[in-house]
Amino acid sequence: MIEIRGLSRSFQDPKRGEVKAVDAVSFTVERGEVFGLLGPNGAGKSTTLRMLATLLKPTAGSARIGGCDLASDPAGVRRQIGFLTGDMGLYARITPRETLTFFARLAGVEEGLIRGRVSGLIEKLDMGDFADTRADKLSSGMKQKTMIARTLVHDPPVLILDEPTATLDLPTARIIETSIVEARRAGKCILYSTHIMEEAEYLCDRIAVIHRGQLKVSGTMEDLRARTGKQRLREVFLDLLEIGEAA
Amino acid sequence: MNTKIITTVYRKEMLDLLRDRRTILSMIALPVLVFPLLFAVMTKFIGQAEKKAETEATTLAVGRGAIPAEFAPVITRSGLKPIEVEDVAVAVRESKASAGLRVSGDAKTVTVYAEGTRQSSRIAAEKLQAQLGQLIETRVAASLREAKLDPGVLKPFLVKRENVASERKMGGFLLGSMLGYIVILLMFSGGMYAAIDMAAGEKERKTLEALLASPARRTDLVLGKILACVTATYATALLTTGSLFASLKSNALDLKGMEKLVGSNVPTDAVTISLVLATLLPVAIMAGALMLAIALLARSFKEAQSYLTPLVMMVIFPALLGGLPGMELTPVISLVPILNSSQLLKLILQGETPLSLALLTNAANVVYAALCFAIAARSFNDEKVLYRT
Repeated sequence: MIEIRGLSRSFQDPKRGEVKAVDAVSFTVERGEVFGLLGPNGAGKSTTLRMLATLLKPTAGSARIGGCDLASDPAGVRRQIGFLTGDMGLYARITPRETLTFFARLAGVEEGLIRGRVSGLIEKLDMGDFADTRADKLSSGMKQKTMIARTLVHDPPVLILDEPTATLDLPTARIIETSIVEARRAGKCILYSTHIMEEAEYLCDRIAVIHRGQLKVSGTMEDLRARTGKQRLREVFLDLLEIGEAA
Repeated sequence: MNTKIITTVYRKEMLDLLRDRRTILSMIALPVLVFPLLFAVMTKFIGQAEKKAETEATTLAVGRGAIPAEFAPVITRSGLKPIEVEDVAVAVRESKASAGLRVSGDAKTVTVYAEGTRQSSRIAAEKLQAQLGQLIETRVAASLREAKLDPGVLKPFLVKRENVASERKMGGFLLGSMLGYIVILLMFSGGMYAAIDMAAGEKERKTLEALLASPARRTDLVLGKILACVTATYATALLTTGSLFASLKSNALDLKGMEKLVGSNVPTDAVTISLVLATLLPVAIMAGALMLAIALLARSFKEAQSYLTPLVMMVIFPALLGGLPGMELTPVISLVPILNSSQLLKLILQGETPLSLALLTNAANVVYAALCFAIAARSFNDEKVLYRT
């Protein structure tokens, strides 16, 4: 479903010159799988996911999502994906129902289907009490539910989630986790970046560790344990970053 | 181009804007209220100032025992009440009298004193001078009769001056200067918040990535935004112009003072209004697209405000320049944005629309509008602009 080959992205920094934020990263993610991208801050996770969401252009490499090529068919890629990050916001003066209708139209959902699709998501995510309230009057949990619904409104087969729980309290983060589990059950392909180890261990079928723009290792939890001899993901992670001993 | 996407974005942006108090204030309330308020204040101020000056122009300072008796009837006929003072100039300067009169010992020089910054003093001096003029004429006529000469010998012919400009032209000149300046200024300020909200506002609210990651084409997204911004800008122009013409037609406002300024024959016919609105349309497109392109460069609402406020200030100069007397629409000025449209508006209201220059002005503004449109669309596709840190 997601196939990445040697994806790279460089930036020009006035002080440091050329900086390789992502350096020849390759991996695949299958349908019905949650693939976790782990890495410290600045490792290149967000840049990788933004390239896959067509927000940033790769400087090298290629990627295909749902059969659409990232470089030649970015609109096709965007039709396949739902993209959510932890620091996304909502239009303050627009209600959740209006937001979902707006994004459904942008995604080209048939006009006759939009009302049912929006109502279905409002019911499924228990948003009925605030669906017609302006976003600036909503709590963070309500906003988060709205953003999840916005990501799912065009029923994309692929979800790209960039640290969606990073700034949330536990009950609100739980809403996201539950949605991810349900999406996997529905057969969606999920690429998920986080630096919360427990979350990755609980949700991900396979995990890749990215550091200084390079993919260090990827595999199931069992693979990573076998490779490092550590049990907990936190230790595995630190070991793979070669800072475990130093710490 | 996907019209469905453009319409979707346009409708959402308009809904969003119309729920924003700042936009309502700058796009609707201010344009609707500006002319009725301006006219009401000006009418009241002009009327009151004249009345006050008239009632205050009542006294005349004269030197103690220094006025020959033959001047007493002149003072009486001027309607001014004489007050005897030590120093006439000082008395007028210190507002102890409206005007002053001094006659030299040989009665050959008569000096009228006025304090030039006080309207009441100027009125009193004019009243006195009128009566002194009559006294001179009477004396000259008497002398000529004594010498058995015809008094008409001093006026071999009569000099008359007539203003050939129609009342409409006179009124249109002043009104056109005001319209060009105020409408263009309000158009920019009316569209400013809309542009900021739709561009920098998306970045500040962190809604931009969700929008860009949607399957819609970026060009369609930005076209919807530009159209909404142009609507906000043009709505301001429509409301301001509508408010101006409605104020002039309305009986609710006492426009006696305004009639004195702009004349009572200012055209409010459909052709004039249509020409005014047609001139403002390309300016609105240019303003909306330009402000959106600039607001896209900013990372926050505040930063966008600091970019756009100087732009609005810069717009004032050509608009103000266009309202100055002596400034005329020439082929070269037809190519200068803002200045060209403020000049053309003045001519339209004077009833003298030069077809070739009007077409040149509007064609130039359409080109500038298209250019600004292209810049805004390009910025929305440029990740350096969207992800500027």
